[in-house]
Amino acid sequence: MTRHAEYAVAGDPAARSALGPNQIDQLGEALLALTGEVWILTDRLAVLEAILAEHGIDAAGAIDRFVPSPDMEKALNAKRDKLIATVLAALAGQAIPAPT
Amino acid sequence: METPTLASPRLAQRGRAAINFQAGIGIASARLLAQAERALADRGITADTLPEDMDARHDTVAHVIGDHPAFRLNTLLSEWRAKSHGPVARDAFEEQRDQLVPALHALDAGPSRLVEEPIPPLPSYWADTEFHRTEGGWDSSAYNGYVHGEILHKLMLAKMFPGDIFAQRRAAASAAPRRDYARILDMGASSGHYTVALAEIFPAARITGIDLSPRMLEHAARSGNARGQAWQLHVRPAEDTGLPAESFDLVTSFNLLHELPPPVIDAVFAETFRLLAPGGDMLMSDVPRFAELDRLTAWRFDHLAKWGGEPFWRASASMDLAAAATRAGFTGVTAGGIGTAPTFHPYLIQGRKPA
Repeated sequence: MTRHAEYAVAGDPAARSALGPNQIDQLGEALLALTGEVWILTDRLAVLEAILAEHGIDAAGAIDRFVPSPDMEKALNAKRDKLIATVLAALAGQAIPAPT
Repeated sequence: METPTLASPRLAQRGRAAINFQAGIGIASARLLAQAERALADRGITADTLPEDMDARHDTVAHVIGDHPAFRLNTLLSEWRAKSHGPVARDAFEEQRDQLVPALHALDAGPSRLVEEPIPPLPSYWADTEFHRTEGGWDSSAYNGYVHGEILHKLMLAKMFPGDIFAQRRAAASAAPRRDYARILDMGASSGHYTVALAEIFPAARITGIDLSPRMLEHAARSGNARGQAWQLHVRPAEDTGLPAESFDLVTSFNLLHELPPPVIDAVFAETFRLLAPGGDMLMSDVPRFAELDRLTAWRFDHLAKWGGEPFWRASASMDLAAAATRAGFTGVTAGGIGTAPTFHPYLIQGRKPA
């Protein structure tokens, strides 16, 4: 450790600040946007489990064992990017992006 | 009988849950404001002690509870919902576009129609305002009439606003003194919710609707066709319709006047007088008059309007509409709220053109 110290760039994490004071509102709005997304997923999961139960399937264990296919992974990635873009737009105080 | 597409918009799961969340935020926001108002009272400020001047009222509230967490969170939720409700509804529509667009166009054919004619120059109070903070304005997308008239009204606003917003329209229309009007003009018909109420209350009348938004009127036409109605719809300003004098027996509006600056409201009453046949009735419904509300309730309306894309609400709600109607020549003018305390919303102004 000691012999590498001369190569280290001095930095004080305690003094580091990513968001400025004027971004606190955007942070609050990002939290709301994120909560909305969590709610949508909660709703969807409840619907999915109800539908599966109607067909005699206990989904909880099957979900834990499930491995996404490459196509599904690609689709999930696109949804993930939309989620991230929505939150980042709120953080940046920008318009919510239209669907692509 | 409404078609399923209009009676209860069927959204895909994401859109349905996202709109549902918007309604939840609206409800939470109202609760936070009530909590903030209780904190205001705890700190000695009530409807009786608030200043008369509205700007001074805002200053007092900001000074006394500006740092209260409920007030701050109400601001956060209101601001976020104001910005996001339009995009969320737009995305909900896009998610179901393949199903919705053919269903909507199936309603293009029928006796109700948006009359094809040159669109008059748009007045600046309309062209320069994003009412209700609707990003891009009412005509920002081809199906905005459905997005705002059906998705937002039926799945968000109806759950957030106190009372039954559609029953309020029927109650307003029902307040007209007669049931035998042959020709009715709906000023500010928008996507047609009040027009629906008029058609229900006056089934034999020929109904004309005007508005400045073609996208909203296109949807109103579909709504009329879904009900087998023959509404004639025009893109015209209410203050200068260009329609023939003395060509209506009832001229009416619901929630139009607070979107207009006072000189235009005066012009609307004058135009209404011109359009009515002798003995015809004027019936306008709008937001309560500030002068008739307690100061805290009036402040609440002004607070919501100030940040909700309602630039003319204060000037309009401060106007004596009964006096304006009388100035225009109407006789037997009456005005007052027909709802419950403390707002008594909706507020009605009625009068008759002398025979």
